[in-house]
Amino acid sequence: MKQGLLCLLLMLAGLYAQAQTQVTLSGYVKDAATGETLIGATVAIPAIRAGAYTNEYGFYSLTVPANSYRVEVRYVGYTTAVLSLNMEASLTLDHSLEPAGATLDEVVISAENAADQLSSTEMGVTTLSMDLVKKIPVFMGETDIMKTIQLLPGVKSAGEGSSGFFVRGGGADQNLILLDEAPVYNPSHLLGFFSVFNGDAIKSTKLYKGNMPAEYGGRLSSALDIRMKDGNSKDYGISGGIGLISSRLTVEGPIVEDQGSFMLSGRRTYADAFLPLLSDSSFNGSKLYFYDFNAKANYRLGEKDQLFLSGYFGRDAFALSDQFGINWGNATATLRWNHLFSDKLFLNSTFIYSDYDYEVNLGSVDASITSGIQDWNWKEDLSWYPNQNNTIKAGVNGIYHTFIPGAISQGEDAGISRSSLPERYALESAAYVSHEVSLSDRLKVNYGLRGSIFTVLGPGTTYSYDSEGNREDSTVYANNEVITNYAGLEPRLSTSYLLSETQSLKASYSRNRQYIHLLSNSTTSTPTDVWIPSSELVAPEIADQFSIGYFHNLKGGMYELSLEGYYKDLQNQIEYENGAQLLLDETVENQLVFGNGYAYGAELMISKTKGKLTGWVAYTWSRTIREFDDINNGDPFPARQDRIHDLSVVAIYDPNPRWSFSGSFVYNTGDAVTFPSGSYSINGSIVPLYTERNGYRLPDYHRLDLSATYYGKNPRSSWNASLYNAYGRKNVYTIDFQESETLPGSTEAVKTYLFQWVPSVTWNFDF
Amino acid sequence: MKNILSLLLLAGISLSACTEIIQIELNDSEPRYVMEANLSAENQRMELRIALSGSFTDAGTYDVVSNATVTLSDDEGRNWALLETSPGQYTRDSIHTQAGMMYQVKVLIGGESFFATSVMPEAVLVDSVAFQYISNPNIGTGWSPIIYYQSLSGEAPSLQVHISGPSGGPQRSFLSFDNVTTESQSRILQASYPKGMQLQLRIDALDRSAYDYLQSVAELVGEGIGPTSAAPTNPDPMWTGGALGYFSAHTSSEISVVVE
Repeated sequence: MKQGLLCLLLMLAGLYAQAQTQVTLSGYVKDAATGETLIGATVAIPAIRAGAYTNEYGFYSLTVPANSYRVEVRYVGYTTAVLSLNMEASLTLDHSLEPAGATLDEVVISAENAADQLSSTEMGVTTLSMDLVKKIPVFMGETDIMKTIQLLPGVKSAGEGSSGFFVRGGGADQNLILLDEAPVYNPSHLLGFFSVFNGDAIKSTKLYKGNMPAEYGGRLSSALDIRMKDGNSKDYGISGGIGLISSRLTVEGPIVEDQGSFMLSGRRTYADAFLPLLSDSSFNGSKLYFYDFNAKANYRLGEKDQLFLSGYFGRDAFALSDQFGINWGNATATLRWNHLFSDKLFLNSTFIYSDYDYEVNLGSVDASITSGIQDWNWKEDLSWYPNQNNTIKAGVNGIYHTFIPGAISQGEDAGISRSSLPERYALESAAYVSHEVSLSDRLKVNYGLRGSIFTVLGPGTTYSYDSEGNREDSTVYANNEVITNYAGLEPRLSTSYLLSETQSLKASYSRNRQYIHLLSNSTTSTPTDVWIPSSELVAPEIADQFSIGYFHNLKGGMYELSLEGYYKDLQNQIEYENGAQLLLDETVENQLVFGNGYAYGAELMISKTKGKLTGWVAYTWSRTIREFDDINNGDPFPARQDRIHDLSVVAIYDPNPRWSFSGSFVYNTGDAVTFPSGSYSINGSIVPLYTERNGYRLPDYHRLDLSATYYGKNPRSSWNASLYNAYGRKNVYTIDFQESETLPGSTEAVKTYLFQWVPSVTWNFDF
Repeated sequence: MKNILSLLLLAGISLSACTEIIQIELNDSEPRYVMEANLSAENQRMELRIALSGSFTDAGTYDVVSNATVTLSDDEGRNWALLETSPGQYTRDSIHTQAGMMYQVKVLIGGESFFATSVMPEAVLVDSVAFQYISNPNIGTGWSPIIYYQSLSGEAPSLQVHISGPSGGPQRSFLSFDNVTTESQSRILQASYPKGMQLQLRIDALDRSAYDYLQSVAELVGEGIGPTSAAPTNPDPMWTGGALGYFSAHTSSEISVVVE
């Protein structure tokens, strides 16, 4: 303990241990062509090994001893700017970098400089550039960030064609998915075949695989931070694409040149246009489409202030004639105000509205069921850059959640007894502080602490149950009365140690708490999943993750190698009792069972980041185990996503400026599943007999996707052709058992597979 | 989900979503006792069938269990011994049945003993049956029954409805869907019939535990209304001692109707 305190004091002492006059270089780094700010750009002074990164708003601050310096400003994919600055006093300097595409005869796929990645304390983190995402083979012509992250080590798809994903053994609801800081509760369109993120509207994507900095919280397994484009502040432009089943259009331009800009982007699928071609009249009146819309505007109010307003709105509609239909969608709105108190102190204030809702129409009984979740969210994030060796971040966050667990409305004579479940309310509050410090040229430490409180508020009624699950008693709470409280600390620590100019070792620990939970009755994410808050009966989920990593850059950063290992301990995980019904059941909490779990694994990634041929090979070996007293006789069992071997190979070949070819190959062990090991008869029905949870495996999954893009003579337009599942592997989607038609009395396994050889062609333009 | 997939298919999104028979090597678990016990208030008859579970691959043929000692008793100390009337089938008539009474059945096989209890529910009196037109790719196009009744307890009962077509055709059984059942009506959403067809309906009011068990079974075998579970497990048996199965004390009423 004493040693720990001493260490802390030494670090804090470093904040003030300055012998010379200090000056600060600060400002923004932008794209010279569009004025878009660049996130994660480096401003470095090589002579004194000092440097700073731009934050999520493109701002940097670097405090160094007064002197004359050669300053480098660099960002991958852009030409490095070199300036000679006489820094006798503090300077504010904005930099505009030229995109390198026009000047370099090579492609660079990594979004971060190799050397910077090596020394950063971040581990288990991947930043994806949209240039890379757009080069990877696509499904049905739609660039999809969610499909690309599934090609990274430690990230697994939630199923064929799904936007859902599992990170290091966590569940699909344990990922914090943020669009301009607004939580997105269901990232799927068309049941997951597409994600809600329109590639044309996205500027950057960063995935934290559990080792999140203290400013992120609320989910156990990962944070996916997606930032929308600000819009071109130099010139007006129109871009888009026309594909076989969907089209998209983006308009952007300055509000006042270099002062503010806007971006509007929309998509619509038209698969339903083919429905009238069907001869089956029972599909009359059916619907099958989605649309979404992204909008953003920003305006600089002065040297020290800038406002951003952004939003997303999307809906899916699916209906089977007039008998059954679902429509669902997300809406988010984010208002942000950046304020510079000084050239070292940056404040971002954020107000967020986020909504997810769905409606199920049961035409056959003249009724509809609605459910959803709604958030009002306020955040303050302060960044202080006291000197070149220290960065301190602190902030507070409050989210007021409204959970709409299910309401049913009915026409006359619907004969439905239950009308609605009461809405539930909760306040999720957090405060954090973190400190990144360079203790020497080789050693960096980032430590932080997040404290979170979850308060379930009235109005509401709570119930207690006896051992057999029958209601015993109830307590009624008034408006805003505290029903229950949970609070906890979430320490975060990560370190990096440079072994040499090209090698580093990293280690990290993080604790995360999750107070809201997704109840899903199916193996894939569906629109009708229900979010519920922690309550007297449902404790918060907790994860502790330990990880270590070795990183090595080879051949001047052309090749990057990383090897990471992790162990994750999971508490208060949720499963269901037998026959649990999630929809419209006020006692749903009583149908949940709670247990623990653990996951461990090793992730190897080798990437080639420069040259005509780029790409990566990612291999993950991992196990994901759950332990529940009420499941599997209390014995440990593999979680569904316990895919032991997982391999992704991505290759991008750009032989000349006209053509780009790419391919991706994925292989993984089949999901752990529960199959029967016997049968018996009940009332004449043959009933399967199960012996152990997830004791069987689906067949292994593998798939090759190919893509070719032709840019033609006009660099402003391109044609892309993609082939999903190029060798037509019949990968299992589900396996069902049925009585054999050829051998009556015996049972056979029937697999359903979704896609074989799905080709697509898209024309993209950018005027 | 099957609806959704078929629509996706037909909409031309997927070129070839298909099914295919594959080989899966399944283990054979140790045989377990399976006991189906029914106590009918209408017939004052208790029936128990005892069999063993078998392999999944060759499902449908199960060994029956003979020479068991079976005793039924009620809360008030009455006892009835059941006789093996055919191999594995144990019956007893003239049982005193009463709404609200808890019955216990005890089975001895070799040195092993098994118990189950069930409470006789209040009777449900059927007033009439109406029909509603539905058109659904899964169920078909036709008329589905709405059963109007009086619940003596004043609460929504747990119902199982058995429907036979004309001339004693095959019987189909449906459990009422909780969310569309009230104390005065229940809709059978899972079936439709053509106009003019003569139907025989038997409506059983079940003990809630037996209803829950049969509901779990229906979901497991794909006859439930809700989605099949992502992680299927055996229904919680109503028997102590490790036997599978249920014990259902129930009341019945019958009605004959013509679809119109």
